[in-house]
Amino acid sequence: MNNLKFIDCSASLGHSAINKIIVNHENYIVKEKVKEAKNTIELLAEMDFCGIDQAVIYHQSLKDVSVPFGNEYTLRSANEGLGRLIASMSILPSITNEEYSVREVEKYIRENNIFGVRLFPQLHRYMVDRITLGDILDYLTKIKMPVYISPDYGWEYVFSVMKEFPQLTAIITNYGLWGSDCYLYPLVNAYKNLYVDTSDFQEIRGVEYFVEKFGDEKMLFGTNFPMDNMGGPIATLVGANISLESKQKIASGNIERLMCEVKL
Amino acid sequence: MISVNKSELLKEFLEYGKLQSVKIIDTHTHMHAVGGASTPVSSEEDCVKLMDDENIESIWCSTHEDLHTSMDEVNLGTQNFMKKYPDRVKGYYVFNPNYKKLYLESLDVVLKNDNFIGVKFLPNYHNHDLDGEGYREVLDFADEHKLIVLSHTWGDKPQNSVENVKNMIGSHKDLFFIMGHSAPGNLDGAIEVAKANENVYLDICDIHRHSGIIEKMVNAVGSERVLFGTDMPWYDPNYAIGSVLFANISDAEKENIFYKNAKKLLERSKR
Repeated sequence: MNNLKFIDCSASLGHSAINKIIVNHENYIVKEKVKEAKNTIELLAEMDFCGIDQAVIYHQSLKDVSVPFGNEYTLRSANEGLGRLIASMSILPSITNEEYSVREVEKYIRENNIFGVRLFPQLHRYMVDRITLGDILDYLTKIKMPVYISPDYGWEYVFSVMKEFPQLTAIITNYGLWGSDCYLYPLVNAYKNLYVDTSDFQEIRGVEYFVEKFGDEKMLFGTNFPMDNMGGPIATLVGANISLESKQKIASGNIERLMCEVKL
Repeated sequence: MISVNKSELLKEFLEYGKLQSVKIIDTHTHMHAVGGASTPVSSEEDCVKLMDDENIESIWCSTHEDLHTSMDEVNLGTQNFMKKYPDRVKGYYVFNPNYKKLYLESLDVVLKNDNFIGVKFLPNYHNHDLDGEGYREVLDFADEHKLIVLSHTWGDKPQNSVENVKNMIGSHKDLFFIMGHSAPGNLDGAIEVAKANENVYLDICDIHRHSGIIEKMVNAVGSERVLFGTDMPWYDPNYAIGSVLFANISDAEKENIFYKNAKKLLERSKR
């Protein structure tokens, strides 16, 4: 059992301007002081302590400062990560910011081994729809690059994105601790390329019920660190009454498959 | 995989998917379905089976219907649950100040029924100040009989904030006060109150999920004042178990949180 290989699909590093704005559930935040990882060294130390092999990361400054600054620091942190940290990136509408045109994003992904695109539409003040991001989301859909979507400001946003881009490879993340099956299950049922980050998936026997209904290929192990500690999601998966094979898929197999499916 | 975590309890959990050598007492639970969250498991039978699976010896409980409705006869849900599983379920008597007379009239059942260990408050849900007139008599009663009081506390909710606890606790030194959730958003304040008052305990329920919280509590007030709670059936016990097991504290401190503190508290409290 303790030989499971863990790849965290969603961890953050860098000190936040406010330590820490945490989604309790949609539209409800809690500001609490948590243990953050200031830099790559501290994040790797936390991963070592908890037995996590690799992580897909973003830098907190993506939220607090700006997309270009945050992308640069995410990449810099990943490059210092001894091959264990994989950089994600964020974007802005190409009509206002040409550096996020399809051509430039493709180049950036290719040159920097990017996995995953994060959207912070409320913080960065844009809409996630065909009018605003149609070009880039069509491209990301085509190359099967996952896009992280959070219902931290409400689930209507998630539903509207998926209705408009039904083939998008999407990872639902940062959805708070209240059990959200009535939102999540219809989405997973309707969209074949939609995945669930396990970090906030705390509901009682939730992993077992999810796997029983949808199989073991739609969940990705995540910690949402430091909003969540790393141990809770690990124990939830390890303690779940599902097969070892299913646990391994969720712990790292599924995200490794998604990484292989990205076609540039 | 590189790991520098030397915890034998963690090793055991990773090997077997459960704690075997240490039992658990869950001091903050509810029961039955609730509207605000999906709960795939919520029946009494399924939860007791889950307790068996996770080596949870007993739970301290107030059912959702006792918390959120007020019938002619109050707290029946918890009483029936305790009657069915007397060795596994201890009860909190929910006190809703909006129906103060009704709740005061039957408060004596806490003394008559040995499985009741104390009282449970939801001040901001019930729209009353913890330190206000609505709770005065029941707090005095709890103090007189050395009962356990579990109150919802939340950092940014004025009726059950750290300030409300501070105002109330000075005149109630004999009851045992569990700060439910440890006031998320103001854990520092909750720690301050616990440091200043030996009869105040920190509850890990919900707040455990954030990075570094368990270490912070233990380093500040000592592991003896930190209690294990899950809000079952809202959440899976394994998540909270993991938050404790992966914390950078000793196995002895973990055992205090999982079991020993609650056991001692039961011995010290109630008459």
